[in-house]
Amino acid sequence: MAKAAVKLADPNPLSAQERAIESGKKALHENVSERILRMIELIRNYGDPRLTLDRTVLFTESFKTTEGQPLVLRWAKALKHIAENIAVTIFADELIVGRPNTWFGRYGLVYGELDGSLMKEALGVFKAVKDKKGQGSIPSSSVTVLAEDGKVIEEVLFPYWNGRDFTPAFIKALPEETRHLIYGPDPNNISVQTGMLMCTGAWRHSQNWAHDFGKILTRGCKGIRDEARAKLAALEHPYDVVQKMPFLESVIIVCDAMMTLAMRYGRLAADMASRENDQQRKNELQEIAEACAWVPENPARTFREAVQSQWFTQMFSRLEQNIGGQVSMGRMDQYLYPYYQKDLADGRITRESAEELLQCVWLNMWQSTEVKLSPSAAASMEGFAHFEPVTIGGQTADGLDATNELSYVILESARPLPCTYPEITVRIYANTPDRFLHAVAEAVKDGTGRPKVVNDENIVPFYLSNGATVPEALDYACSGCCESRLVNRETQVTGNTGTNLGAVVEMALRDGKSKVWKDEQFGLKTGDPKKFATYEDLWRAFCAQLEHFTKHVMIQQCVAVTLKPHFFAAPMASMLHDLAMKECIDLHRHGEFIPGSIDLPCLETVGKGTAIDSLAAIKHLIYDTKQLTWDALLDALERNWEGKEAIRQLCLNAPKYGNGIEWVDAIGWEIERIQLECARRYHVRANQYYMQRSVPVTAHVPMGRAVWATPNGRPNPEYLSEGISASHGMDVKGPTTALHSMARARCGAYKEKGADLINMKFTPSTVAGEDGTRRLMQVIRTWCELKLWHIQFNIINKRTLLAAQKDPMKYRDLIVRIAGYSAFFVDLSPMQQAEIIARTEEEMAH
Amino acid sequence: MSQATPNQKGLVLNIQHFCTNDGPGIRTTVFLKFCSLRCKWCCNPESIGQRPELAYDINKCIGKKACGKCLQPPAPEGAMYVLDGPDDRVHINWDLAQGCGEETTSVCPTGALYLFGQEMTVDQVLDEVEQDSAFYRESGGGVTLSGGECLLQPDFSTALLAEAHERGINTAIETAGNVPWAFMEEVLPHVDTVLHDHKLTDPIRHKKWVGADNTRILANFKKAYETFPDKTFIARTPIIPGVNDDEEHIRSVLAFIRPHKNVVDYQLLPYHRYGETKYGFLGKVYELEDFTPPSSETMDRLRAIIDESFGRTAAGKTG
Repeated sequence: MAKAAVKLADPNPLSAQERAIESGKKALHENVSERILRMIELIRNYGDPRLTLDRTVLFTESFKTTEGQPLVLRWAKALKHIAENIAVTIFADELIVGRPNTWFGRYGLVYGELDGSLMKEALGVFKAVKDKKGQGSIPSSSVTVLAEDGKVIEEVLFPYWNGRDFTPAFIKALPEETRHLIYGPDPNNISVQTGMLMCTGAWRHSQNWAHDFGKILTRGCKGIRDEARAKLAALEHPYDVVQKMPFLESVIIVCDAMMTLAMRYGRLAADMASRENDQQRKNELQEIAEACAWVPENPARTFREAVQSQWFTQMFSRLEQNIGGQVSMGRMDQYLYPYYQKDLADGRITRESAEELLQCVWLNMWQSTEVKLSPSAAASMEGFAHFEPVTIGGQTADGLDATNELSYVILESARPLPCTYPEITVRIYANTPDRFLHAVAEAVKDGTGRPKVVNDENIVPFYLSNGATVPEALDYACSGCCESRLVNRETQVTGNTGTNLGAVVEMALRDGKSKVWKDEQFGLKTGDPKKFATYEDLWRAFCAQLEHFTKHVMIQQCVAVTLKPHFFAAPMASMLHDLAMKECIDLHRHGEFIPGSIDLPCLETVGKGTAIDSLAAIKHLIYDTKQLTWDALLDALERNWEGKEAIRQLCLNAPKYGNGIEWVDAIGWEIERIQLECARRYHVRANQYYMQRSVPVTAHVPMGRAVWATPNGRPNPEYLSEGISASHGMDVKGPTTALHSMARARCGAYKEKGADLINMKFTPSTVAGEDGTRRLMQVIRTWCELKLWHIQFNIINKRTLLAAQKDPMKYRDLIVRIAGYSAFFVDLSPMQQAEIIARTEEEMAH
Repeated sequence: MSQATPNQKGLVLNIQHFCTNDGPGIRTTVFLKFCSLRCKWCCNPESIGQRPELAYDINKCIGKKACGKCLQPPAPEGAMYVLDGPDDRVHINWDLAQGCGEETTSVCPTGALYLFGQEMTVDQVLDEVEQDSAFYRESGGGVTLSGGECLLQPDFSTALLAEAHERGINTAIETAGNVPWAFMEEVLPHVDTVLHDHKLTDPIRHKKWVGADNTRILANFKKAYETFPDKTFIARTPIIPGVNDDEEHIRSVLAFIRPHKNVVDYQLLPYHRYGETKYGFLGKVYELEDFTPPSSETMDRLRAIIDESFGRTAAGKTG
């Protein structure tokens, strides 16, 4: 009766992004200049990212001449060599300059010292992907390698780095059982992981990281160099002279290197200005020249100098090393605000010109693409995953509201851009102003998946309980996908561990053997499930397998942390860190424990929903209601459900996580507790433990391939559940219940329970109009109150995604939310596209 | 009037979360089964009957070869059958399947066979409703009882709403008002917002389209306004082109409600056809008139009359 109707005039409205694509518009909103539009067009037309080798070639040249010296010093000298010799180019329309490549378009840096041994193999993979794309199939993270670059790799880079780089050394150093579990039966395999565990230590120099950019802006390289010089002069203790001198000398060299590179850009700009006929461009080039002559050497004086200095620093960071997902931007609306405020007051900028300068940085970041040489890494970070969160909003270190005019400017500057940058991250807390939340909700409704939001009400207590002071905890920045950092207290810069919870289920059901890996014994022998008299017997087997996997990810983490200081140094990242600078120690030596540091390695989990639903189905069907026997279930699983559809349906219709069923949600809580307890048993040092989190990026797709059919009704090779979300489409009671379940399945009893990723997909009609905006605000407020860690939204019509699969060219600008980042839909593999489409679509009940 | 207890049982059709058109804020709507009207445009045929009803979605059936579980007892012989030919999905003989209950549907692994309506206690319902309490706090929402006609289970509704208040949850009901006054009088003390339907004004047209005279309905509403001056009432009309999309109807409803200060709004809901497939699930043919959803122009025009009457500018309204 009264349920008769919905109040919608247009039943299928489009998001701003969909509207822009359908109408052939270049930008989602009007606040974008012709300059920015021209640059976007050039970047898109350049096509796939191309490998840029200059950094690694110069790095290699330098390394050949410094063998035997302290590593940190070698690193600094290599950076200086790069700064002195790398090509400098300024392109038309650019206002913020500096790049490690020589073309205007997307590029990917590679790092010989990280995984040079994989370079040759990777060339083959890149070529294969490219060829496939040429045949008209849907492209997937395709990379361009010019013939001349291929030659440099084969003749220069690979011969030097093969066997000298970190990746094979790491694998060799693993105990055999651990190596077998991660890299499989072939002892010579160094590129493809089994998918049982995930170990990102071999994929990146550093775990996600945010620099204290404010230091460069307020002190300049000169100020930091002075500090290093003073410290150097004061060294007395013989031990210090040996231990600290190389570090301090490196800092001085790196400061000089940064100034050198900036000066070269300044001179180029001045030279170009002198030859420029167009008066407006001439003026712009002169301004660039002046900025580059002053920063990052000196403290920034204006907003423009601050932005240029920030970009130089992050660009230099990319030259220094690969940070997983690249560089996090920190709290940009905080450290840039004084410059914005002053320039606005002095009439030096307008809100529009500030937006344009920021947009120039966003486009610079967009071009810097993270290309992975390891196929496992590439599959886990599809669509050129990048986590360069620009944190805005939240609270200040003083405990006051941090929202300022620049928070809005940054938010609005991102909205028109039809690209996957910047990665705006909004800190929400109980008292976030409605005006700001309203602006955030409006931006979310654009449908590009941005901004994502993180929760002070969860993250601040997380840091407080793990050793931070109140002001420190209040000043956290988002870093990585949806994780966070205290930029001067945390030191954990080693890639992380991951456990495939779907595989843990399989181990418990198949006596530790993997079906995909032809019955390879990866797990413990926990026995034949047919002999499990009760559900508790199965639970014990599951826990044993989980602890076994957990132990081995911790072993590999220990190997990575121990080995890294012999392979990597990061003098620039270290000089921007209070504790590293104080102790004169490179951050990559964090395993030695830098005094005062909060150093929490991380236990990643993948497939939480898959594991919960699998265990729940068994409990319900075999033990509680006895609708199914072990014989029947195991037989159906072995056949990957083929010819066993009735049993699969029974499993699919068993109670599922995400529907507010208390005992099912409780399994999730227990799984996390078991892993946290296990990690506490093997803790690293007093009161600091492995943190547990669920931020799988796209790893749930390749890891799904490694797991045979699971009792939740999932066939192989389908993806696992993502983040802490329910299995795809299985949370049928709507978003309120789904969030409630997720909150309840989080093991909040442990202070080291860390980041969780939540994806929510709404149809545009659900959030249409002002009513819809308010609704979205209420959902975010409630999520905040539930003390969940993170949430992000896809606001999109399913038909748009299906249309994009059919006509990738028309939809080449279609952006979707993946994990803590957005990507072009057409850059994704077919399986990842299917995963996005299968995510539960939330609609308002009518 | 019976004593309300948390163990009181009612026949519940469905609990729907994240409802935003059933009263203030984000709400959870509990649909009760059983209705005393027979609206010609009804999109919830499953809500009409007084007992649990067998339903069947053939699209979920995986066929006799893969399953076939419902083709054996306890299902009555011949109630489920398969046609000759390549498509071996199950069909229902609805006459023979009359009275099939949970013992029949529970053998189906796919959820193709199921029941509309289940007995639930007040606590069972509210334990699920309460899971959304954080959303109610942030949005000013709560629980809404709907139907069917929720006032046809007055003891259960009273117990449920009273217990919801005990749990600090805001309450609303959706009613068409075609019940004895005593039922209304029993339930309304526990309701914060009363959403009530004015489907048609003219008694003859009302009888024609809705299957019952509206004299009692209007008397109930008037009495309710006067008996419960502190309650918030919101009048509503589902707009069905050709039935009640005329200005005259809107104006007569306004004339009826405007003298009462506690009727704070009059909302129009455009008709939709989402219910069509549900007739098939119940083995019924959708033989109702071919109604079409109203145009947005019609909706705007009619809403403007209401806004004028309430002294609002049309621009502020959305939806």
